[in-house]
Amino acid sequence: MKLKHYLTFATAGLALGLSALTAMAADTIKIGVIAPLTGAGAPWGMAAAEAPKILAADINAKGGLTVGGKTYKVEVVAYDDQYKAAEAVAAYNRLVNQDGVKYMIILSSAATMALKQNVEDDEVVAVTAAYTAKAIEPSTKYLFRMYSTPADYVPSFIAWMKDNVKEKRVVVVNPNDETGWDQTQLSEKLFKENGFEVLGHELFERAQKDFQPLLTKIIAMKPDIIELGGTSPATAGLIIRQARELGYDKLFSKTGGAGPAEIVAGAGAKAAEGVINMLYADPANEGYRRIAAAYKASVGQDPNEILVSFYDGANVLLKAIQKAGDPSDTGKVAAAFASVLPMPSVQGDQLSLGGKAISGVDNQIMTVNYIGVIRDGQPVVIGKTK
Amino acid sequence: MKRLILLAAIVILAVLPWLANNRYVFHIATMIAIMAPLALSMNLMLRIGQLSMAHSAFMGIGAYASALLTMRLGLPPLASLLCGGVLAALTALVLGPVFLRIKGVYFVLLTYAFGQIVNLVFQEWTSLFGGNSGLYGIPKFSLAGYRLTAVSQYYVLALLFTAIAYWMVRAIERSDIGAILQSLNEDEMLSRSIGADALSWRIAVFTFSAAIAGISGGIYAFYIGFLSPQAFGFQLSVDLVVMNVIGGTSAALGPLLGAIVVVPLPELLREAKQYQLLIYGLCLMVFLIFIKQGLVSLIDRPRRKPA
Repeated sequence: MKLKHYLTFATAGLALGLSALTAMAADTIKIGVIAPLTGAGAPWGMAAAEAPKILAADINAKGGLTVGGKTYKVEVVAYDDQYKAAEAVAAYNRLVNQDGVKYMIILSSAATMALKQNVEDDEVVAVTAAYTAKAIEPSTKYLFRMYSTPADYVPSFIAWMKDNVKEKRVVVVNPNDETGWDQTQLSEKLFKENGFEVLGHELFERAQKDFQPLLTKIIAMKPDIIELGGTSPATAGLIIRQARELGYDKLFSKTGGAGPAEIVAGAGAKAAEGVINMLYADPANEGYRRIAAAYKASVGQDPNEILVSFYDGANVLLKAIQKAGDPSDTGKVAAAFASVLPMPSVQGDQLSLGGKAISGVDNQIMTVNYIGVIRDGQPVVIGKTK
Repeated sequence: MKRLILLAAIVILAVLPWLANNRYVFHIATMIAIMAPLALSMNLMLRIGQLSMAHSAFMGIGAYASALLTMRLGLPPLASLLCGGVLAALTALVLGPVFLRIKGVYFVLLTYAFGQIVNLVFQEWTSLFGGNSGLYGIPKFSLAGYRLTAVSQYYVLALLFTAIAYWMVRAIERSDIGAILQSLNEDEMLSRSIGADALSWRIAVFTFSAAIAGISGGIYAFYIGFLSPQAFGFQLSVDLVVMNVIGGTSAALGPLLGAIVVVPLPELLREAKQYQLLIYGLCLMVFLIFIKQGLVSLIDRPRRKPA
């Protein structure tokens, strides 16, 4: 009897799996999203999933996307990869083979690196948020990076600091991993080139919460800028709070990893006052406020500012589909990126195509980043990167 | 009879991807076939009463070794795959005499610490392992000039290894060695009093199970084509324990059933999106509450009662 029950269960499970086999709907363009929708990366993943949905809702409300004289509804299918390569491969296979997706947004570097060959082999046009330079190579045709990388915007960020910040004695603090090492090397070089005195650098483990010993050593160097580089915003908030508690009353800057809300949450508004931080979005911009409000209406929380980059990435993708004139010809769509860019971003800045200097091919949407300062717990834009 | 029906059902499940002829189904089946030998390797440890949190690290050692030996030294993939298994086994062989003197929660913590150290080495030694950015560009598996490119081919490779691993664990289970291992778990003092060298047997099991985990890791590396340390973290060891608990630890069939149920479960629940992990957790709780001895207990009845 129990065996019968077991077999019934197994059959039901199989039926459930097979029932998911669906054909691609006729007049619909599907955008797949592979992102961490749960866990620590969820704020970014939810932004990746919701941004194209907000865009699709706007387009569908106007009747749909007209491509080659035919109107298509835009549908977004988002799957959780939990930041794991194997989960990303499963999500990709499901999107391509069952959901009939030919266009995709991929968030993490791990997912992008695991899928980049599949994307090229299957001729799927994908937009990635991966910073890693290895994601895009000279032979890459179908994979595009959706925004500028630190190598693109940190030089102009530090050049802006040279002109606008009077303090010159810097200590660079970063996580003790490859990202942190690269960021340390880059920012030390750029600070020196721009006439700053680099007193030293300190690395910490990402899981670290107590920074008092490290900060005591840093404060003894008498810096007037502590540069937090690629430190995660939440950890940056902790470092700022603990440094203020130790009596450090000078400047903090953070040239990478936007997240002013997390910095304020970790440090408190008073301690975070005056922190200079890279921003993806201008919180006062009308275009950003519109999509941020749509996000909040859907999810019930304020978005991470990276929402704007995913919105622009999806917008460029759909414009390229329109320009190509045939949603089934992904080769034409990939080629159309060069003709739809430059185009305006949702915030009114110019998006352009570039990346050849770093990747050997122009498969990167070059974006404008903002330089913000935290005032009364809120980020205020005071400059732009080039 | 029940066992035959079940084996027939497993065979039907094994050929299901060809019936569906869908790459997504093949991918899930391949992941089951990669995880099943790992679950079997964990089962061997559970049989000697040692809950190992090091098996994710052994899988990682096998995976990175297979990939790097092919990429950096140009070894044929099959040789790299086997070397990956041997390297994982050697690591276990070296550590075993120290680790396996300790039992219970201390062994769990020791193997957990080992797993963390291995993972940190993968993360921090970026020039060799690629760090958190991962190791990419792993060539496809090839054998005698035949290159495996399709997911269905990797499924066959993984399935073949699953069958071999199952056959070996089953053979151990049925042999005198199986009886010795059972005695070590149930009454070690008695077992030693009749001449069993407990530590040596434990080291042998630890080494053998690490070899299985290492080879599974190698197949994973060649299949996914990209490795990052996160894939070989603590969560993987927990997943292997879950597969054993759900499938049942009393027979080799248990972890096999556990892998068949646990690996595709998140995929079946993918439609639930943000509730996927919640429902997954609830499903596991239902299994644990209502089928305490695992799925294999629905088939295997105690053959004889103790006198």
